[in-house]
Amino acid sequence: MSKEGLIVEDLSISFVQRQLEVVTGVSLRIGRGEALGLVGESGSGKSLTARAILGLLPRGAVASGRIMFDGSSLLDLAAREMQKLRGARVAMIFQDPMSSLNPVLRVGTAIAQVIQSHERVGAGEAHRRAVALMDRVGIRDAQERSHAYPHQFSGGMRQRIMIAMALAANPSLLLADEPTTALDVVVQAGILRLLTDLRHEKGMGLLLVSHDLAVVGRVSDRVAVMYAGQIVEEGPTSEVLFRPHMPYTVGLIASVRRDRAAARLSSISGSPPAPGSTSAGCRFAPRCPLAIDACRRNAIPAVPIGPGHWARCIRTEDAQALTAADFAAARVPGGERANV
Amino acid sequence: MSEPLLVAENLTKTYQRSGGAFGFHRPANPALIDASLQINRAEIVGVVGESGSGKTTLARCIALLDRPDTGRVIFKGEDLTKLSGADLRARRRYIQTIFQDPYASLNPRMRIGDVLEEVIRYHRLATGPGIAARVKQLLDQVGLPLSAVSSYPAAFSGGQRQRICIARALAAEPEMLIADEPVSALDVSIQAQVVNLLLDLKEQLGLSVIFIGHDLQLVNFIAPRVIIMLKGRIVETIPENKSLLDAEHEYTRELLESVPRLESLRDGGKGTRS
Amino acid sequence: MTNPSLDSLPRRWSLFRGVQIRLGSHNYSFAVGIVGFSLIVLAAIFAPLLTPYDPVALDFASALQPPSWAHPFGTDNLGRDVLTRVLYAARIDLQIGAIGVAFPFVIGAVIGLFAGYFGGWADALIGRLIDIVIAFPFLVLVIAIVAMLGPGLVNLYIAVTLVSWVLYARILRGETLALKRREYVMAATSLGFPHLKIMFRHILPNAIAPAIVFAMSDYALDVQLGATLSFFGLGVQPPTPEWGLMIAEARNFMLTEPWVILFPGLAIVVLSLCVSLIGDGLADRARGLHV
Repeated sequence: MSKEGLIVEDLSISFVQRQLEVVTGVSLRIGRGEALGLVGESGSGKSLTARAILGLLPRGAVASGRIMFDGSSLLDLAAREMQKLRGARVAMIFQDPMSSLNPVLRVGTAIAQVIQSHERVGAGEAHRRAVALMDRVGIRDAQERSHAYPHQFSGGMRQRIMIAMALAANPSLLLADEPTTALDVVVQAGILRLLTDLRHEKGMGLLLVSHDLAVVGRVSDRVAVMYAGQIVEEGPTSEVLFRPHMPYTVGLIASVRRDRAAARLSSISGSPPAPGSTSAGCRFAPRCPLAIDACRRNAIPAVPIGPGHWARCIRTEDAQALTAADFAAARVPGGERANV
Repeated sequence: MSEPLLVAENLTKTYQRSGGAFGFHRPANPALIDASLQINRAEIVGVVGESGSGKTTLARCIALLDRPDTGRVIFKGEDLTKLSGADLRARRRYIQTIFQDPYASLNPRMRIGDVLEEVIRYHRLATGPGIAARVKQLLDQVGLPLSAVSSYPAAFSGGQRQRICIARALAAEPEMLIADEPVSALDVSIQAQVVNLLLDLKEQLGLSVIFIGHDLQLVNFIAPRVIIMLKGRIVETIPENKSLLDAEHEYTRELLESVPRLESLRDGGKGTRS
Repeated sequence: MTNPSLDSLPRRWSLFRGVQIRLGSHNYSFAVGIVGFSLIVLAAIFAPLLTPYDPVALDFASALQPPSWAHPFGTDNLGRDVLTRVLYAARIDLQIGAIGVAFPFVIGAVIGLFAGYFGGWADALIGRLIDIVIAFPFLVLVIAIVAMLGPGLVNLYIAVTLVSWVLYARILRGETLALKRREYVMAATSLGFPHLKIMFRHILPNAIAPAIVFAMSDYALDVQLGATLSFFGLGVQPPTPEWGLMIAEARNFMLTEPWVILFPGLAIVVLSLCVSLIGDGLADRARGLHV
C-alpha cells in the first residue's frame, strides 16, 4: 500500500497526571487528495486526535501509537522538524479564526509572512501571491483588503483569511477543526464549498473535524464516527450516513432528521460517559437500545460490513432496523449523567 | 377567536454605544426595526435569523429586559412598556426567558435547590412544606433527580443546566416562555432531548412559546408559524399551514438552501428540497 | 471560563508578585502565607506570654545591647527589648492593615456596585471621581490629608479610606458592568426580583473575588503606609511600639547597632510577604473558578 498521505495507527492520548485516557486506539488513513470527516460530540476526542497529528496537544497530554505522514513518523519528529512540517506540508485551521490571527498585523502581511517563511521569495512577490490567495478564497477587492486588519473582517471572511494562510505554503494535507461551527449557515455553506473546490483543485488531503454530520457529509469522501474516545464506525460517506450499522450512528443521524410527521425529535437518552469511567465493553452500551450482556463484557472488535466500511458493534445486523421509537423507549429518567 | 396573549407592536431598539471620547455617542445601527408579532395562548411561534438579525433583541424587548425605544408590548391587554418599578416587576414572572448559553445562565454560587426556592418564596407561590414539594415537582418535570437540589451548577453538563434553567423559569409559573436559541450550545444528541422537553411542557402546561433559532428547519419542526428576521427587520412570516418550500422571500430561500441536510446528500444534490 | 478582570487589577504594590514557594510540583505559596500570617497574629495576641519584658518601660542600664539569649533581638537606645517591641508592634500594624482595608473595601464595594448596576449620571460622576483620585500619587495624597487633619491613627484611617475606596469602587464597578449582562442576572430580573436582591445576592458574590485579591496586596501596602507615616511622625506616636516608628527612632544607630533597625524592618517584610502569598493564592483560585 502506498506510503503517501496520512496514516494514524492505534493512536491513544492520555492526560498522564490525571491518568485519563481520552482517545483510545484510533486508526485513520487519508490518502493523497482524499477527504475524511471525523464526527463526534464534544468530549469524544475528535479535536485532540487532529491536534495530535501536528503535535499540538495541550500540556500534560501524551500521545502513543504511530502517526506516519508521507513515510515519516510524526510522533518521533524533533520539535524543529515538526515546526518545519507545520504549515508547509500539513496546515491546520480552527473554529475561532480571530484568536489565530495576529490582531496588529495587516492580513496581507500575515499571509505573505507565511509564504516567506517557507520559500525564498522577495517581499513584493510574497505580497502579490498573498493577494492572489485572498482572491482565490473569495475575498472581494483582495488588493485593497490586504491592507486591512483582522478585526475589520466578519467571522466568515476571517475564516477565509485563515484558509488563505493555510494554503500559502501549498500543504498536501489540511486539518480543519470545526471550521464553520462559529459561522452562520449561509456563510458556512460558502466555506464548505470553498474547501471542496480547493481540495479538488490542489489535490490536497483534508481531515474535517465536526460535530455536524451533515457538514461532514457534504465535504468528505469517507466518515469516521467517534464516541467516547474511540472510532465506532468508519466507511464511505454515503454508506455510513445512509446505511449506518452502529446504534450510536443510527441514533445520531435520527436526531438530526426533521420529520414533520413526527410529534417529537428522535433523541438518544442519557449522555456520553466521562473519560475514565468506561468499562472494558462497548462504551455506548449504557445508552444503547440493543445492548446485551456480551456488549458489556468484552472489548468490541471492528466488524467489517462492506468494502472499507466497519463498525465497532456485535449487533450490526439489528442496528439498521432501529427506529426513533427504540431510542425513545430506552429513555433513562434523569436525562444525562452529572459530571460530579 | 379569543384575544392573543401577547401583542408586540412596532418595536424598535437602538443600543447606544457609549464610551466615545468626551461622551460623544457614535451613531449605531438599530438592532431592531419596526418589529411586530403576536402570539396566542398555548401557541408556539418560531423566530429565525442569523447572528445580528435582531432576534435576541426582539426577545429581550418582549420580555422587557431591554426597553424598546418605540412600540408597545401588550400582555393580556396591558401595555408593559408603560409600566415601571414594582408594577412591572409584579408582571415579569409571567414571561420567562431561556437563554442560549447554559454556562452563563445560572448563578455559580447558588445551589440548584436555592435557585428554585428563591423564586417560589419571593413570589409566595407555595408555603411551608409546599415549597419542597414544588421543588421536587419542578425537577421531576424537567427530568432531573431530586439529588440535584444540593449541587452547584458546576456539577452539571450543558444539557442538564438547560433543564435547570427551564425548571427555574417554570418555578415562576409563567404563561409564556421565550426560548432564545436554547439548544444552539448543546451537542446534537442532547439538543433533541431539550427540544422534546420544551414541547412536552408546552402541552402539559398550556404555555405560549417563542422559540428562537438559526436552523430554519429545526425551528419549523417545533413551531408551525415561523418569523424570518434579517438585519433587524421581520422579512417574512411563514403561516401555520404553509410549507417552507413555499417561502417567498429570497433570503428565506437562501437560509433554507444553506443548511446542510443529510436527506439532500442522498440525491447528491446541493439543495435542501426534501 | 477564566476571570480576565483579575489580570487588570490595579497594582500599587508589586514587590513580591510572582514569588512562589515550591516543593516538587506542588505550590505551597498559599499555605505558607496563611501559616505565616496566622503565626504573626498569634504572636501579637500572646505577646505578654512570649516575653517577660515591658514594651515601653525604660532601662538605660541595658541600652543598645547586641542580640543575646536574654534579648534575642537586642535592645534599643532606651534599653527596651527589641523582640518585645516587635511583637507588641504587630498588634498596631495588623490593625492598621485591617482597618485600612476594611473601611475602603466596604464603602468602595457598595458604591462601585451601585454605580455599575444603575449607571446613568451618578455612575459618570463616580467614574470621573475615580479617575481624578487615581491620577494622584497615592502616598502623597494620604500624607497631604493626614498633614491637614493632624497626626494620629484615626486620621490615618480617615485619609486611607478617603483615598482607597475608589480602587475598590473601580473593581466592583467593572465587575458589575460585566455581570449585569450575564444571563443569570437577566434571569433574576425577569423573575421580578427587586434591585437590591439582584445586586447583593446575584451580582456581589460573583463580583467580589478580584476585590478580595486586591485587598490582600492593599493590606501589605497599608502596613507599609502606616510604618511610613509613623516614620515621618504623622502616624503612631511614641512610645507606642510600631515598626515604622521603631525604624525612625533607630535610624541614628543604623550603622553601629544594626539590630535595632533590622528586626522591625524584617517584620514588615515578612508580614507583607505572607499577605502577598495569600493574595496570589486567592487570585489563582479565583482564576480557576468557573463563573
